[in-house]
Amino acid sequence: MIDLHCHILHGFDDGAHTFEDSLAMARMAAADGIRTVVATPHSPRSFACRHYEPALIRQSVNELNAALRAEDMPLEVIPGTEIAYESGVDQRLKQGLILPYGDSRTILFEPPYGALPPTFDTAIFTLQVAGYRVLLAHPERIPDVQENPNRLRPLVERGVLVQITAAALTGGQGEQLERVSVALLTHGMAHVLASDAHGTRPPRTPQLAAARDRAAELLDPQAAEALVHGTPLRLLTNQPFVLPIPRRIDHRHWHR
Amino acid sequence: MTTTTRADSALVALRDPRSPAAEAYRTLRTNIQFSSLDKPLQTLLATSTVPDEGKSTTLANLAVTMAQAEQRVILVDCDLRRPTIHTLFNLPNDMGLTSMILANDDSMLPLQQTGVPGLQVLTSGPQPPRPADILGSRRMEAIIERLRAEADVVLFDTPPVIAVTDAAVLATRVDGVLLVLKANHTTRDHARQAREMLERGKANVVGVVLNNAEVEQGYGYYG
Repeated sequence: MIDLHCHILHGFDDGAHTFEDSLAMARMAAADGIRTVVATPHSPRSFACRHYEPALIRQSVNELNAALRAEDMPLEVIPGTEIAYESGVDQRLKQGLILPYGDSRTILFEPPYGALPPTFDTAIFTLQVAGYRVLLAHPERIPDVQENPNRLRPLVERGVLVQITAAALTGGQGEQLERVSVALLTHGMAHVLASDAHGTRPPRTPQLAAARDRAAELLDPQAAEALVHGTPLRLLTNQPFVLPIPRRIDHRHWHR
Repeated sequence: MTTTTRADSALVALRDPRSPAAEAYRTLRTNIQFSSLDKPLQTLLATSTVPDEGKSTTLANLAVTMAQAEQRVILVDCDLRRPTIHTLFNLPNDMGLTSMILANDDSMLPLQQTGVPGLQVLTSGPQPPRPADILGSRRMEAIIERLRAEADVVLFDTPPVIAVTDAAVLATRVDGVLLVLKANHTTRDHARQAREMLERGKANVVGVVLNNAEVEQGYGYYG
């Protein structure tokens, strides 16, 4: 499995505190069957960012990989970023001031948590035209989406991919997030499951197997595997794929 | 047979060139050729009245049929609301028309080969939040001219004309417009309304394609 959202590096944000924390997270991930973790520290715009510098992130990833190899751990870490919504992101990416996923053209894009501004859709389009694939981080947390999950439909129709958090799907983050996650997943509006782990403590542990199994019950085993392996791999290697058309969630049923 | 089309492909002109449907597309091609003898129709747009009338499939088959007659054809997906041309030809859509319109670089021309010799596709590219603004832009006008220089025929797929203004905006910038209707689906009022909207903008409606029509005698032996 591949985890596309994990705050495994220490010292950059509110994720791992120490190098030992990073190692503990890596061990937990490997034991769960995860073979690739993308380290996604918060970008400078985020309130959770403590420090951000591409060269330092790469160096930190190299150090972690060296330690994992020394332990014979079957896990590789790749650099990335959880990029907070702000204007001019496309320029900063182009200048190399913010990192996409590894060598790919995919970015993890964190939405604002209040009401989604109209400029949000334009910002995403600007990124797409600049050649980036946008993976939207955990929209199940956005109040606008909780109120009306169909808010994501036009975005998904325009090629935006959606990452939901493993712990949200399994109910670890409460009933509300679980309900939104299930709805998105069963209506073709979720494409990737990731941990968004900040440490080894529940609910957001660096693990994916339980959420994959839940997805297999809701969909089928093959679709569940795509959420944690097939699709993430395609995103990391710039391979083309066709997204299924999302289905509308019944409004009356939603506001029961 | 090419590798880009599957057995379940909607491109009947390619999948089964001897079928009556493929023959119908050849007739359509001939009719378009002879509809304007003095001034050949080099740029042609297809639209419909409402969704699901088979507009994109019809245009894609027409494009294949024209390429089979050894014309250099470019098929452009201007349906920025529900682009489908890339799925019909099984092509990626990370770059396309919108990338070209918004690029600072005039040399960009992200045409894709299709496996049908002579037929190239310009997919929609990323979908903008407000498509009409983009299709009505000066850049779009320049792009139509650019594509003209690259092919014998340029075909444009657009959204239904009654729903949104995109098709009407483009219709005045091309040589001819094809209106695609579906038998037992399109209402008389919608058909009339669509034609009026196009003609009000001084578009040159060269023909109407009726899809899904039941043939009275059925196909069979002649005579």
